[in-house]
Amino acid sequence: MRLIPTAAIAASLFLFSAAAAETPSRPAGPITSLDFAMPEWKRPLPISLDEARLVGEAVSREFPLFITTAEATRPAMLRLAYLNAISVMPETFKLTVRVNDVVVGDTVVQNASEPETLSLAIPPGLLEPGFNAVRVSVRQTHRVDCSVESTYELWTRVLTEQSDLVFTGARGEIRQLRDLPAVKPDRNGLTPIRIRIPGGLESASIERASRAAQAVVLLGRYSNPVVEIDPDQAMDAGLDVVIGTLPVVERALGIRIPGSGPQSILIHDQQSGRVTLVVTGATETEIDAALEALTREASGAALHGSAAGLRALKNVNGRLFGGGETVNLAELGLESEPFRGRLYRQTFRLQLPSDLLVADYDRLTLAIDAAYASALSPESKMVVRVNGAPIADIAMANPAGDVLSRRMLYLPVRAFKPGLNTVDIEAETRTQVDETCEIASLADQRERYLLLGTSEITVPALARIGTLPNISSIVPGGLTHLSASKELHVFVPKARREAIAASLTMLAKIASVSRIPTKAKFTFDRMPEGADHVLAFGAYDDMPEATVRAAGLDPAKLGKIGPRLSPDAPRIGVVAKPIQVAFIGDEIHLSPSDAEPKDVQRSLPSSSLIQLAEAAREGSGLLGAVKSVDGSDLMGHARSAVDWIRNATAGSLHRAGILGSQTTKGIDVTEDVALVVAQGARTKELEAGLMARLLPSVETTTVILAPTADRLKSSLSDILASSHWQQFVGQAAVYKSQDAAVETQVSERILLVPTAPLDIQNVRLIIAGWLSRNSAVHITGLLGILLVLTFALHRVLRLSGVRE
Amino acid sequence: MLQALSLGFLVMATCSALFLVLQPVGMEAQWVLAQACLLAMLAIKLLGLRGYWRHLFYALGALLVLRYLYWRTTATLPSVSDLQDFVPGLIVYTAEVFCIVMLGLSLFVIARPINRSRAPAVSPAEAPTVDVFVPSYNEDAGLLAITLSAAKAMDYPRDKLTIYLLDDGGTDGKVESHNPAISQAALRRREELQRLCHDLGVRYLTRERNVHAKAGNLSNGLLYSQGELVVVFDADHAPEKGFLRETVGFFQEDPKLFLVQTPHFFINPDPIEKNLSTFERMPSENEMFYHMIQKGLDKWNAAFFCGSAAVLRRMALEQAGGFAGTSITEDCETALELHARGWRSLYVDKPLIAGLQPETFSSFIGQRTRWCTGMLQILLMKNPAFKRGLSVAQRICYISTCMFWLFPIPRMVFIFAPLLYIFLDLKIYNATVEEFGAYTLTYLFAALLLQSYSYNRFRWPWVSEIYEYVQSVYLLPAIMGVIKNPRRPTFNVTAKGGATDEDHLSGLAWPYFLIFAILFAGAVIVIYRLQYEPHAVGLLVIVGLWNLLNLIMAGLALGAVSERRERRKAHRVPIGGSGILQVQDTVFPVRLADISQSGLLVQAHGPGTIRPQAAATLTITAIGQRKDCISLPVVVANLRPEGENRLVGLGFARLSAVEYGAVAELMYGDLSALLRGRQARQRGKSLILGTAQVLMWGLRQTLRGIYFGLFRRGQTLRPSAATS
Repeated sequence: MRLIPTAAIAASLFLFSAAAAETPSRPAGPITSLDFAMPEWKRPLPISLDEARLVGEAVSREFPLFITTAEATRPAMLRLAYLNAISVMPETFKLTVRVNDVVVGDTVVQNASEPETLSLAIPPGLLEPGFNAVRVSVRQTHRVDCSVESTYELWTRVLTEQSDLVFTGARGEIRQLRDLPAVKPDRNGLTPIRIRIPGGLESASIERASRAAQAVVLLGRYSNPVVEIDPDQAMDAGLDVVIGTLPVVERALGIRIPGSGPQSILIHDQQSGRVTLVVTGATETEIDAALEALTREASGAALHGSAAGLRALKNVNGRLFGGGETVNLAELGLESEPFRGRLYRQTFRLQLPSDLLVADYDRLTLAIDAAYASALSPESKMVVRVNGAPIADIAMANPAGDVLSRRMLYLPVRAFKPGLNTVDIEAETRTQVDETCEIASLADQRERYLLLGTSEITVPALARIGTLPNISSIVPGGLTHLSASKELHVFVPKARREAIAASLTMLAKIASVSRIPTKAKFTFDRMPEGADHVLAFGAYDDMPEATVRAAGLDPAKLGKIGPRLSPDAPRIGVVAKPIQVAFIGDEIHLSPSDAEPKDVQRSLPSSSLIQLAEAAREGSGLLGAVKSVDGSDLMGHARSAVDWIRNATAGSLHRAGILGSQTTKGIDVTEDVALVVAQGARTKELEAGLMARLLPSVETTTVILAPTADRLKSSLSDILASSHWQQFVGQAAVYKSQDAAVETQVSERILLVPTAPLDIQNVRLIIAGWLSRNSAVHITGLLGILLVLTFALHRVLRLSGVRE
Repeated sequence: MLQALSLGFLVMATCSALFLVLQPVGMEAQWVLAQACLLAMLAIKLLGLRGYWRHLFYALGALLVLRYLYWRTTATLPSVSDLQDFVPGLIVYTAEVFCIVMLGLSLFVIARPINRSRAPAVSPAEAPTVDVFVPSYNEDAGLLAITLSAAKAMDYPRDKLTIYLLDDGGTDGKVESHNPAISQAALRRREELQRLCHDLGVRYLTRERNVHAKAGNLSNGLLYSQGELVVVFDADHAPEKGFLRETVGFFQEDPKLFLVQTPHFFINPDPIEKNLSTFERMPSENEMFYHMIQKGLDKWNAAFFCGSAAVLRRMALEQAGGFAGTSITEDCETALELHARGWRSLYVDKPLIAGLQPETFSSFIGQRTRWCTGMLQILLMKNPAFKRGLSVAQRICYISTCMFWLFPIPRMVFIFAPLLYIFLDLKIYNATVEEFGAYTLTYLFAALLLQSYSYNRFRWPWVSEIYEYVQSVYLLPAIMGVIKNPRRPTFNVTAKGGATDEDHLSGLAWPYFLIFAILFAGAVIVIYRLQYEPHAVGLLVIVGLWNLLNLIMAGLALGAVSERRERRKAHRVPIGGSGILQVQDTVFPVRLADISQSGLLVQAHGPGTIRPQAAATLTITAIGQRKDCISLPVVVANLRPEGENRLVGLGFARLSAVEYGAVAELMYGDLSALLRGRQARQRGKSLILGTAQVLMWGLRQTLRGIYFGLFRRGQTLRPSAATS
């Protein structure tokens, strides 16, 4: 372990202690204060690399930015450096910056050769203590091409390393736990949490590290935390967390910590900018008490900030929906501005419950308020995609333009998945002039389309029951939620530091998304016995074959793993009746016309927008129908309606399992695979009682594997910080770093695990969901009952009324 | 015990089925379910399966209807926050729910229609005394003579049968009217009818004042008669000889029986049948009621009195204080009162009388307005749901019967609902095109199949919709009136006759043209919007088709209100038989072709001169099983050659009572030939053929209506001399 130079710490310290055992939020005065006048205090923008690239003709990014009380009173300036794609037309480029929905400045300077920096003074009083919203919006068009495809070549990259919020005359004081959100992110938008455990990597100390890391994530509202253990290099971004008994910590830090008993102390080194959280106590019991208090503080932390800031915070990880809510698109972060380009695209992120039952029992409703201009191409349309798949559309081919008021679009629940979902609203707004693409049309800045923030999305009551295996429920906290003991067993064979760091990063991410800390129990030597849910991290070579097998993977596919059987192989119990659940791996079709089972689907990397556009163009039955109709071509519509009915019949029968059945193929682990995630679920031995028989206890083993522990850590950090994790669905998935692609394997047998209370509403939805995936059972049951009912009816009628 | 067990079993099965039906299983599952159900229903229908399968058919249909109702309720209603969509949306929804409730009630009613066995024979000694009431208000003596003669000729011990003419057109009140015209007409009528009754051996009864209309008249008849059983015939309802033979026996069997009702059988088409030219081919509108619904009601001891062609027990009527007169449908109200007192009714599905229907569109509407308002009066003032003494099944049956007459409300809602979207772009039905297919279309198809399977022999596809629409235009204001003031409607006597000898447009026609024009404008707008609103093509096509269907109905209605001329002054009944026609000194053997109240058509053989307007004598030698000969004084009305023979139209000269009896017997003595003709029409029409037929009619009648609207407007309502 490398100690931070004690002299530096001693020289400039702000200490804040939250005496954990006493009043957690009571500020304690600084012990030592060598106060240097800081002329400038820079706060990097918390924007991840993934989000720093603004692709398309009209893009906007909104992110929450925490301002301490001291900062809010100081003059502030926003410095934004950016670089444009060469294809962006200089005459039509515009970049606008808003703080708390107020425009603080804009620029039309396009620069593709070197970074351009925009410095904007923020009006006094605009920033509020707490969370504020910073929005960067870009309008850009292509300089030579009018095609829809060309819009994907348009990008403006915010250079995060050169962009910050600069306060004059302020000291960036992080004095209290509630100021933790002010901890600087690194230049990639990630918040490093560097855990230092002076005592060594014992499972107990890792468990404490995990609790501390999750607590700071909750307190700091970090959306992209990365946990490191005893890192080699020092950074001013992020947060150091030191856990140990008082003497050990003092020795490690080289300072004297005042006070006694369980406590969490925040130290801010003004010179280096490093922030350190010390969790300590006289004994290990006291450390646990301090952690307990810290976790309590984290769970109860109140939010403050501007309305826009709190909105941005709610949306940063995807807006949480539990079912039964209606939210307008402005609340989801929609910037309602007239659009002047050719392909409008707006993405909304919805965080659905980890125990969401995905089936066709209801639909989300999108009430669209929008308008489009006259003279758009007849094939123009608005398309709504859920997780990339086109689900609904509205043609926009009235030559005179139109105002769409509360136009209803329905998005079936089966198109969603537990955890993060994206809903994209796209509008193709090409005009006839775009076909020729002359200079006049390139510079055409007519307003073509407007999506209003009053548009609403309504999430119906959702069926809440855990479905396993289902790797998409890991990040939203599914495994803990499903566990009866609310514990998650983390297994890191060989206890490699990088693998442990990866596991802590995952737990931190889970806390960030679910807002609930996970109680993790770590084991390093052998698979924990009798555990409900095990999450195992490791390199291929480190992972016992039994664990790999329990996760539903074929060890042979991992190449180097031999056929040896580990003694801790889990027992395979009786498998409950399967339920077919459509996750994203199960294709979502606008029309069942092409509902051929396709087992392994290559998910589209989020950056490959062109591929999405291609997929949209391929279209499906209805899209095709809508496209082919121009009012006079009713025959076409009638034909497609007939086709649709025919396909619906065939599709329905397929789904009902009457015509053939789906078979799934395992994933392929090739050399270019950077990360493998797989989950195996099985029932425990049958217990007594009807309920236990109906819904037997389920245990799972989830493995997160990479060729090496080092790659495990880096790949997992990358994936969790980007939108790739959204594509991890089904029972297994592999991530290929070369082309940033994710391949998934659809869950074959789904086991149900009760989570939410089984009240009438929930049970009804669960049954409906189950029946909708098992139409054959539903129809057979119903017709069977009907035959019996008719028999009874026949008898009753013979015996009632006037006898013949 | 067995019944309770079966009932418990049924309740359990129903609950389980409902549990599964009300699951929101999604559209794909709905598709599979709907297809399975519809296929099974089609199979049952096409194979003509009955018994257990009939009930399975209903259960499958009910399943689809319930699936639709569940989805419609939970997924399609506009948000309350958009009141402009929500309010009309809710109105359309309520109209649909009303239709579904009515479908449910009617399925209950026809769950198991009864076929009664023949009435037990009654020995002359044990035969109860029977009083026949023929209430009359303004019918002419000729018509009454036929009816009274036919009643008199019924097979029954002479000493036990008394015929009463209950004349409300010659009451003291009328005779003593201050208006000399009314007074003289009433007095003349009274004397004429008294003379007729004397000649026919019938009792003439009138009363002081015209209170409580027909019910009051009949109750007055009760006061002045003593027969154990009371038979009611409308003035134009002439009974067959065997009427009492087929009905009275039931009263001997069941002392609690108060009513035996028989069908009303008409020899002339109603104006819609006449104007659409469907009388010869298609079952009449009333056949569904008399051959299916009354039989269904009979199963639940709820067959009700239809005002005529029925036998009632005096004791029961007296217990209820005579014929009820709160509403203007005294018949149904009387039956309701007696059912509530524990009396039983029975229905004989055999036409035993022949009568006349209204001939003009306006009198048809007048008749239906009386039925509609009367039934709603019962619903409002004597609601069967809360009437003490009725069984649950009887309550359901009476509610079904009364509530049926609310049909104009949903019908008009369905006519105008599509226009809300077409003209105003209101979104009153939230669904995607796919959902519309999976739920709405399958529901509509199931409803059509249910209707077709249940009533096909008696009601062709879409005919109910045509009749409902045609009536709704005038019944809707009447309904509003009765809801506003339930005591206001008064009895109006349905006018029979009134047809003209020239084509003309009915005086009530203009609203139909107005509605047609609005719907047509809607169709034009749909075509326009299809060009310019491609984003709404799916929805526009659906709404446009709905409007088109309405437009076809409205076009058909234009034909229905374009009155065809009626050359014949009286309706003819085909007869067989032969006779001799003596014109002056020449004698011609003749074959009888048909007969009406005013004359005969015969086919004359052999040479000899027959001059028009010549007085002649027709001697009928052989008809049916008659042994004796009848001679009738006739006048040659017209002549036309037919091959080597001649068709001679003969008009009756002034007839004596005996001769009226002979004419009545010729006309109504044996209805079997007429019935066979009607039964030949009772053939089902498949959904496809029926729909195609209606489309064709729609086109033809629209053009005919428009032609009448343009060129036959000036000749409205010039009544001919014809009377029924």
